[in-house]
Amino acid sequence: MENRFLLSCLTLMLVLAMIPSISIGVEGSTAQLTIYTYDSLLADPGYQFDRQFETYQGLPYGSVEVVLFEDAASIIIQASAEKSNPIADVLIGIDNILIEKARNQDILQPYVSTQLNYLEDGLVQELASDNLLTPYDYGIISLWYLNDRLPSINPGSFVLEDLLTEELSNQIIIQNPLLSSPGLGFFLWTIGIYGDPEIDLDGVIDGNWREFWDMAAENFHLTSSWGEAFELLYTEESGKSIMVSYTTSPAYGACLYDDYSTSALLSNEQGNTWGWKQIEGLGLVKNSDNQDLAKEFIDWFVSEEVQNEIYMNQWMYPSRSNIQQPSCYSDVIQPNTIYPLNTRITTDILESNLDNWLSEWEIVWVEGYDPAFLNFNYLLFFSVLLILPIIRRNIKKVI
Amino acid sequence: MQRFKFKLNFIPVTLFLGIFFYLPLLFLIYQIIISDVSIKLLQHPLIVRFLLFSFTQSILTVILSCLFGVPTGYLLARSKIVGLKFFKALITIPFIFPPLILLLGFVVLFRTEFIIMGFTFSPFSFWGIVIAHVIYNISVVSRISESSFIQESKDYHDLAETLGISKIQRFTTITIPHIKSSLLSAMILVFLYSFNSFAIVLLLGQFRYQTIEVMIFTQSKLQLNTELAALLAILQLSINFTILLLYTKVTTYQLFDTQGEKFKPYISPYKAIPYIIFIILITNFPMFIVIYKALMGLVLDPQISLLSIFNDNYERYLGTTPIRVVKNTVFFGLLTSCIILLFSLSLLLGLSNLTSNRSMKFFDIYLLLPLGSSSIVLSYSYVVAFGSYSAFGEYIWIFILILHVLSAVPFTMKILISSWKRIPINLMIMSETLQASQLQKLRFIIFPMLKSSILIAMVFSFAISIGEFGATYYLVRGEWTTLSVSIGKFFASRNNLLPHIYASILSIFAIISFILIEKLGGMELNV
Repeated sequence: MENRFLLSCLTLMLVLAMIPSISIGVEGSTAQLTIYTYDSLLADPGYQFDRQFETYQGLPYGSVEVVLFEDAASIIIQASAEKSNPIADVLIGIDNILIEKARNQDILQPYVSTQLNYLEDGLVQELASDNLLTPYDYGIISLWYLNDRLPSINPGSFVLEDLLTEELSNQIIIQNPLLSSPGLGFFLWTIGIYGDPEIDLDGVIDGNWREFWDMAAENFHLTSSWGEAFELLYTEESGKSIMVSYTTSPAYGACLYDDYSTSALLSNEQGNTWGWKQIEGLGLVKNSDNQDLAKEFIDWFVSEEVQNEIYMNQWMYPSRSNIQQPSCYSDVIQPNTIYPLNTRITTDILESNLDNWLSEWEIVWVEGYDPAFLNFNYLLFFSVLLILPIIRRNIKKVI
Repeated sequence: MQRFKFKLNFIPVTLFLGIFFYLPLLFLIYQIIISDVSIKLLQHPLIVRFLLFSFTQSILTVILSCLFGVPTGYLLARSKIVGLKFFKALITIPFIFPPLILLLGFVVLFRTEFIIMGFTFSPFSFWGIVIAHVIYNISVVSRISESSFIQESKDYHDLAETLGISKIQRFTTITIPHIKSSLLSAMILVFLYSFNSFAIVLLLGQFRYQTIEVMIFTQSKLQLNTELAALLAILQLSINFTILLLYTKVTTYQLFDTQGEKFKPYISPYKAIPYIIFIILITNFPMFIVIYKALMGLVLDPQISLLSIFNDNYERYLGTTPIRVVKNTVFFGLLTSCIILLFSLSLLLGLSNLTSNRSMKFFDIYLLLPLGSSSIVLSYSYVVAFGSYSAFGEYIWIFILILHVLSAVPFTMKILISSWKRIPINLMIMSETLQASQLQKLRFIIFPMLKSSILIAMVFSFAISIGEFGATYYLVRGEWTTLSVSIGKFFASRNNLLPHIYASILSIFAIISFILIEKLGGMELNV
């Protein structure tokens, strides 16, 4: 009797478990090419590059498997964990800052794309002169705001210091530079403008980036990703009206919805407009199984076919030089009018200082918001807890 | 021969825990030994600060949970309320609720900030974290203290009353010593939950507040600082195991006076009900809010609500289709239950030949230790131990499933062992004298008496699996996203309909599980 009960119980559970498993398929992957990238790549309104490449190559449906991560840093982490036995063939989305981490982890293999001659001058050198990555797009990190909520802003005279004013400091959403590429770009923007006296790095103006962040920590709202910041910006109750994004962000509304209610904002210290240039690339995974197909994919990704989709799906500038800019981009701040701060914070400076800067930033961010005396409060709390029984015992004795 | 049998019976259980729990942790320790990591890494100013934060918020959570939970337990045990079972159920439900539902409801209610009598309260703050933990843990304290109050003997009170001892003195000298040990075990459990908290601190702390769990996650997964992550993992394990040993000591020496006349309910319902309703409101509001939001969406625009589950607009963001997310959750939940069933039977087969107190104590600890290892530490140790094999990436769902099983093991095993301890020893001795085999003992004595406990364990493990966040969030990639992970991903988009629908589906699963558990005889929370 019990056996029957037991058996029927187990069978029922297994049958129930099988219902979803039949429709979801639990077998291993049969892909011929595995790509790791971040979840917003060419995602809005959407260009299915995996399916398009299958068509281009005449491969059966499902031959290209795209594994999506929340951000580019996670892609490197995953590829590093699998280094001795790589699963991915191509990594997409590593930028001109994260490439140092990828280089240190030794997860990429140089590949000279057949399309390099068609790419914009200098991009390959600025991203990876050793060809570990091939650039597919670039953009300028900027602030992006809702015009109707901040009518008083004058983009022509705006400087970074203005963000610390009472009017703006409560309005801004930034992304964590430890986790997000635009967040890191904004962080480097502040270092480029104020400089770092501790390593004798001159900024555009005299100052110290630590002092800026010390004041910023109290009111700036931090999110872990661009997507989260975007959601918050458009949640009216949040009361936020500026976020860190790209100069191309206003084009999204303008091109898709004829909506001109947002603008980009760069800082204008010493009479010039400054910004951090982010270049994104894709690279071949070292010792991966499908190298030939992966190389073809890289070439295809910087070919005209895909590059034509960058303006309207990725909302960045394509790396290929001969791509026609859509007319709805006419109001966007053009990259050639901006002084890139990358020339002040070179790859060498980044390589030797980035980890320390980020570590210091984390301390300034946490302690700036929650000043050091709170540590004292914690200790006081523990002391009271420890002393309480002693007090109680003494009171009992007295009574 | 006896020893041989004993070992053989325990092979499945020992092997499973050995490979999937103890081995990865040994790998982690081995990695630290060979990598020449300096313990000085732990002297980073933020680590000291975050450790202080972890202890402070956990202690405050314990104090506040007891402050609200003990009176609730007292009222549940001593008041004459009609429909007491219903009230008890409502107070217990939050315990099996996935933390993501609580988080979503909490943030929806308070938005980004909330002004109470001139004070601005933001859920994304130190007090936001503490209050979220308290809401989650009130049910643990109230149910554990309630069962302790119920078991208190009235005889001592009668005797004290005849000696003219006042009500307050009776409470401090009889009642408090009586509930002390179970209250202490509840406090240790609450401390452990808050100290190991991941989802609540990750999403409300905004990286300004971090528990060791969150630190391990950010260091290993986001900052690639694997050496520091490994050190933190060992630190976490050491603290947890110390607390767990304390826990086993406390629970081992629990002495309940189960003899004598018990208290009959005497507190007027008019006095008890307002407070109990207040506690139900604060502990259940997250569930009410998410269900209300989803229902409002359905009423206002049923087409959009239903389409949000069945269309593929969110595929890129979730890494899979919205409907597949639901299927994944059910898939993991049901398989976790199946494995728990097999595991329970193997364990009972082993226990059927285990009679000495010493071996019993050893297996108590052996099975309880997984409770001391957090999901993030285990997930990270899996990456360290198995990450280099291609099968790990390809069959990641198996590892996620195992982690779901492991998070259910300590609770379900405790349910079984406490029931097993109630089997009359005479029956076991008799079966020995009649030379019954282990399987016969299992079939004719143990199984019939433990049938409902096994089913409770299965349902409870299903509830744990569907709400599991940490391990799944750490390991999952695209296609295996579950409901909890999706809600976490959507956390910032508070106006979005899909997370509310997801949270409502999770709530329904949790409520069904709870009703099943209650129908099967209920369970004690002091697992």
